[in-house]
Amino acid sequence: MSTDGLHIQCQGVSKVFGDQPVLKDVTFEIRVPHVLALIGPSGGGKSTLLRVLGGLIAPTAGTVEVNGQVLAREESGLAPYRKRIGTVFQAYNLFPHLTALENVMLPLKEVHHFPDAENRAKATLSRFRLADHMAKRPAELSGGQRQRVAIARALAIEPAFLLLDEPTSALDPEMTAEVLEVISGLRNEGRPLVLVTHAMGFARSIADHVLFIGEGRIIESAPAGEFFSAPRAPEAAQFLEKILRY
Amino acid sequence: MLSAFCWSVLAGTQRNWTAFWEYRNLFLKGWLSTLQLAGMSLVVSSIFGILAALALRSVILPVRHLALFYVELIRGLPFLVLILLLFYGPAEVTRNVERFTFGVFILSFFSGAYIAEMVRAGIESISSSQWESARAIGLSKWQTYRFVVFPQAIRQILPPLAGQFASLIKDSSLLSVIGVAEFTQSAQQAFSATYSGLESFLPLGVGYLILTLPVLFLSRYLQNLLRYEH
Repeated sequence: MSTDGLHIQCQGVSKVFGDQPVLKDVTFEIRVPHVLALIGPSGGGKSTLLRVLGGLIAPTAGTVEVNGQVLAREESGLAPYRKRIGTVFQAYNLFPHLTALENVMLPLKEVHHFPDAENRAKATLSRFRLADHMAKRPAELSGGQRQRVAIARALAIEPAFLLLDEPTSALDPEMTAEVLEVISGLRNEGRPLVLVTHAMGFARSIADHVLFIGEGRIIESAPAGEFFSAPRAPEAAQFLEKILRY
Repeated sequence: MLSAFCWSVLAGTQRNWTAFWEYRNLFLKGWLSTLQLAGMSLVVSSIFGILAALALRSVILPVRHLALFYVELIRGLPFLVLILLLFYGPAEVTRNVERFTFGVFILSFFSGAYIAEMVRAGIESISSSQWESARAIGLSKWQTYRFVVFPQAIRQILPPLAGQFASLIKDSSLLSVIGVAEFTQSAQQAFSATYSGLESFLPLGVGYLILTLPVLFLSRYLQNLLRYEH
């Protein structure tokens, strides 16, 4: 399943928080072999769309279909869908009272009931060069190490795909490089990713397709190469120009 | 001057410490009974407190309102009034219950409301990002409480809970008014037999301090320990 890429269809998806519309009638259909990047100004709805795709929140209206499965509206239907997806947030992913190893083991053991949870967790952490840090709590790890543990935790369950919500925004440049390297590695092994990011250079190098999102709408949907070299929407061009100027 | 005063109080010619010695077994029995009463009530009131705290966060509105009613009602009433109400109110029910058991229940019912607030505050101290991470890795609501929320909230809850235990020990003395055989009642019995007030009530005070001071120190210790360990 992980090598089939992603097929996402959204039909009239809106999300309202209180009286604040965050997604407004979002409709698109895309197939990406590896990486979909969600790009756009802050507060434009990227993270909300990511959470909808991950089954973390249900849209107020509209239907979402991912790889042939129509997402349920109610929690009882969303929960099993969510279990098959790995999600990494910007920060504070890990549970501070558990060690790195325990963090990775928790979903393996309690949600997915792997009989070899501990070995699996150790192997995944070792893969991300975290073997020496398994017994440490998040407070004893650097920001980059924390995000790598979070990625290891998301990946250890063999998810259908990964959702990454600005995984490097809270990191300094050196640690950003360390985490981006890990994410590039994931692309190479063929696991589909949906990535919200402000790191344009990285998005350009890793993404197959870009959704440019602003004010709750999809402003442009284009293959990454096209989007970065010649964005069609004026908002996207302005955004790129502003971000790439410095 | 103070020591002279203390001396005159403790060893004045009219003092009759043999009376206390004579009733030492009664005192010891009462003291142990209070310890048992407070210990059992701590366990039961923690259960009440956790249930009420969860009910305070329930999505079912009537459950939430009922829990809020319980907590605010108890916190708004003096303990003595609550004891009298529950003891003389539903008389037919409570008269048949053993006094000690009734004492544990009423003390737990009272203390549970305060513990509920501590537990609620502890749960609410867990940031929303923790809840979201727990959801994202697929934990159910119950698993989230068990593996993520409670283990972290307990650090927040323990220091005030230890303080509440000291309050519970002190409040248990009021149960003497409905005839629960505990420490204060022992002292009152010794007093009415000997008419030596100070010799009955000074040991009473000391006996309570022996129970409460270690608990208060524990509370302070936990507060410092958990403050720096982050």
